[in-house]
Amino acid sequence: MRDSTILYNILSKDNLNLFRIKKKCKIGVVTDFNFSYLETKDKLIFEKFINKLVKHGFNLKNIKIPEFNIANKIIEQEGGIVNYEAWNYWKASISKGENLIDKNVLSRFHLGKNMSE
Amino acid sequence: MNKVFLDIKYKINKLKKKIYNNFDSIDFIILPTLSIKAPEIKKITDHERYIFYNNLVLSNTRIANLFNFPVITMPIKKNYWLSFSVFSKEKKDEILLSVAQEIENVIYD
Repeated sequence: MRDSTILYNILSKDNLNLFRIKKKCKIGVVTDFNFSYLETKDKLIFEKFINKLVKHGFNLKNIKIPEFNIANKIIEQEGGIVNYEAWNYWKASISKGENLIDKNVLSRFHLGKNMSE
Repeated sequence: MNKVFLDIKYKINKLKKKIYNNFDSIDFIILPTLSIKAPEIKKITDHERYIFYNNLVLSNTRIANLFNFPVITMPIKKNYWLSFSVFSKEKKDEILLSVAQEIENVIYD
């Protein structure tokens, strides 16, 4: 975290001093998203981590955010808005040399292109 | 502008408003960063398998980009693949960094 704070201060041109927030804040543990796809062993590790936070005074509660799964379905079925925006921003440069671009990166741009057409 | 894009963007913005209502009662969200361990390179040399694993990973991480969450990610314990992510509302980077520091102080002792 020390490195992240230094980087943040450089990029934001700030001089952030981290402050104690543990006892004042509430943390929601999302239980209906990717947690259920972990293998059993890793679920237990994650739960142990949560219990450790509780033991050290963090205020946690389980929450459900069904919108995360809904958003994924929308993107998977209808297309990625990031891909569309990226294609429109870079298409002039890409068209000059698609053969120079990594095929996996190019396929992501094409997802955006296909949304346009 | 493309109608399909605008429709999707409209739906995502509606979802964002619902998600942000959660921050009336909480300050942060925490969840596993990914639900799968990174696959071996030999498993993703095949293009279709690459797409499969790429989509699986993206389905975990794209929510931060879609909904403009600042996020801090850390390993859950030393020398292990599993990590967790802490999210805050947009533009709350400073308190996110603060709570992440406090979590880090606890979990690796």
